[in-house]
Amino acid sequence: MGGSGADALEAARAALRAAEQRVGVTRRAEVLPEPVEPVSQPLADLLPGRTFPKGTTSTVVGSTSLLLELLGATQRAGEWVAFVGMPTLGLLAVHEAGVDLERVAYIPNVGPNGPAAVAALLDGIEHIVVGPACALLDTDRRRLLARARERGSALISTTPWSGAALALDVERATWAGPDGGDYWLRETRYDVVRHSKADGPGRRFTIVRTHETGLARGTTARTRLELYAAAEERRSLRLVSGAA
Amino acid sequence: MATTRTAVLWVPDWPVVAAMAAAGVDAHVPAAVLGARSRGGQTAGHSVVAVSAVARAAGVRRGMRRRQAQERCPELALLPADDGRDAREFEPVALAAETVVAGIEVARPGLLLLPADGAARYHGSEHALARALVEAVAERTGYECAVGVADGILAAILAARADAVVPPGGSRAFLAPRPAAELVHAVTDPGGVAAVREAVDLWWRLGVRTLGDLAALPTPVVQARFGDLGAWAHRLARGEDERPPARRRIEADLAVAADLDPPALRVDVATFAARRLAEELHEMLARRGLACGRLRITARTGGLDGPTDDGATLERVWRTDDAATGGLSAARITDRVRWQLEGWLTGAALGARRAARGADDAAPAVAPIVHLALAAQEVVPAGTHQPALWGAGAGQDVRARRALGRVQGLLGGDAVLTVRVQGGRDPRDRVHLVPFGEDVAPARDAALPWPGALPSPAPPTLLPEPAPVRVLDAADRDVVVGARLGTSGEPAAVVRDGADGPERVVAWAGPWPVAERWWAPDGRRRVYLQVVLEDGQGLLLAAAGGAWRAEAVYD
Repeated sequence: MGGSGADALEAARAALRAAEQRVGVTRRAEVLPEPVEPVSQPLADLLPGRTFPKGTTSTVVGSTSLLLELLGATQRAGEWVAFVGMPTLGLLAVHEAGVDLERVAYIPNVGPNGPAAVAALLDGIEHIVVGPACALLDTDRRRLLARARERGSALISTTPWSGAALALDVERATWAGPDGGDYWLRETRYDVVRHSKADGPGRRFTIVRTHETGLARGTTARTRLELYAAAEERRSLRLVSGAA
Repeated sequence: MATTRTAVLWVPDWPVVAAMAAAGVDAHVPAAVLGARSRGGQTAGHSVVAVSAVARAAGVRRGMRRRQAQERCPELALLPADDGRDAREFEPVALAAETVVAGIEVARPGLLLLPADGAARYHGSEHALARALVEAVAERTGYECAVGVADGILAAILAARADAVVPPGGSRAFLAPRPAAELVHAVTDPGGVAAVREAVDLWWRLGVRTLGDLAALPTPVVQARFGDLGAWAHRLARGEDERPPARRRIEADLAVAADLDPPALRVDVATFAARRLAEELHEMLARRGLACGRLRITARTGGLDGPTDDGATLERVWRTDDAATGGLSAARITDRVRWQLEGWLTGAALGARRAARGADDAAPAVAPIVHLALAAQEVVPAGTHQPALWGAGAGQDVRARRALGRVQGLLGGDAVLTVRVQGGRDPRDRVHLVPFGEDVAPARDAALPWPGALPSPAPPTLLPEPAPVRVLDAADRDVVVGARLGTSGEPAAVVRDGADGPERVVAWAGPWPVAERWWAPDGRRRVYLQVVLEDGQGLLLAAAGGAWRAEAVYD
């Protein structure tokens, strides 16, 4: 039985080879699809590598809620997030954004030890969010960036950081949804300009986040995100793809 | 065939006995343990899960509602349920039993399984063994217990309830006349009780009323009709559940303590003593090849009013999750103690200074520490710690924990916080912040409904100090909330401190009144309002005492 099975496989392979030679097709190594990450599609488009770039700095300036959404969408199982120097952070919003609170460290006040604390965190924490209360000089920033590159952690700043590999500037975050007092704030529209090496002068995005939930009953809200590239951007995208 | 004789040591009404011991309730006071609040149905609310003998004589039964139980017995002491306490308090009983029989299995708090063969031979007879066990437990812990010996676990458990010894081979006959409902006593996990009750109820309706009836049925039929639960019950009813108890080695908690003379008023002095204690504890753990799951730090402060004042006891428990990496080092134990003492001594010193300034804040005055104790709890043999099989690699967590530990060393123990969600209504109350590594349970259950809680999404930015604002209507009059919770007008503009002029409101939601704990002195009444300003930003405003404050920003 085993012998005839092997023969049949060999015969099938020979037939395939013959067919390939006849039509001039060559076989290519199977490319495995990239492991599917639970990153919701719009956010994947906003972050070029589907995640905050590791080993370098990103900035998300102008909207805490967008920062949390991005963290919630890109934190993989087992990855830690530390919030340093953000005494005003609403931690319930962190939870609702889908960040695993089991792996969150919150260091609201660092005093003058900000650089040392962030440097220590870089050794073991994958995402370090540095807020405005963590005072850093330009020399500190350079040193921390070098350390992040060495350790492969993602540094995320809520204040501008010169030399950041990815900068998301939220020009306007518009909250809506009360409908004259019948509902509550449940919709957000972010106008974002993304700056990175590949983006040239910057690309514009619009993200709409809607919360669908009953009045808070302890259930997790379903968050829906939609992303539109701005109109002129879409045209330029089409042009690029036409040229290619 | 050699039979496996099993002895069972049973302490009647363990949860209530443990709760009474922990709460210091006297044995003659009727007491009952109230379970967690169940949800829905007719049994919503707290119900009694365990009753002391005195309360039972007064007519209180398991499963009664709180009010019903108090109706039967008004002087009933109601104690909260706590699985951790039950297990903790049972440990001395297990240790006492181990002085008589080597190797025991704790089936559940209140119930011990012991192998009886060898021990009975050693003590002369099974009756002598039972007597020795009862005496050892009574002498060392003061609890009354009953011991039964039989083949098989169910028979032994039921024998313990009757304080009897069933002769070898007599288990089946002993079980046969008993009602099938007694199977419940052999269930060790609380979730299984309901399933067994349901099955017993079904058998009753089918005419299978006693364990003997059940045992008389052919095995394959029971298995086919009632599945695994049926097969388990059938095996028990036939007295065939003979397995030797899983023995375990019990490790007593290790503790070290020192009196500080002269009393330590400064952190560095106390830390010096703590370092010596930490090294001693670490040495004890290392010498015995043990690791601990929790570290309890206790400090007693001296009184301010001379030697008659006992002072206060300050205690904190730290989780030491990295048992896999070889337990705590002496330096880490010292660090933990130092952070904690810093918190106490500086907190107390601040309170004293505030009191000296004449503030009416009743903070305790600074008191020197006279006694310091460290205890290693949940002691297990080192190296038996089982890392998680699924999920992220344990190495990742260990790295993160080390990094956080270093930051704690840099900034102090209370600077690094971990976050849990707890019950509550406003975004501040719903978050439970605990210093990293400390073991504190959330104050309120997040799974309860919490009516009136603010709707999701929660504000991403909370203002540390709520800022006073003015809310104006279209005619530039202040918007006030009346006694009947109506607003005097639609909010049209908000005036914030530091802003140049009023900011127009483009959308608003609310007002939502929240009256929390109005029956208690710490009650709060607020009216919430959400507004969206022209620049798209949302604000969460709260009115209390006629003034509006901005609590949080939606950005």
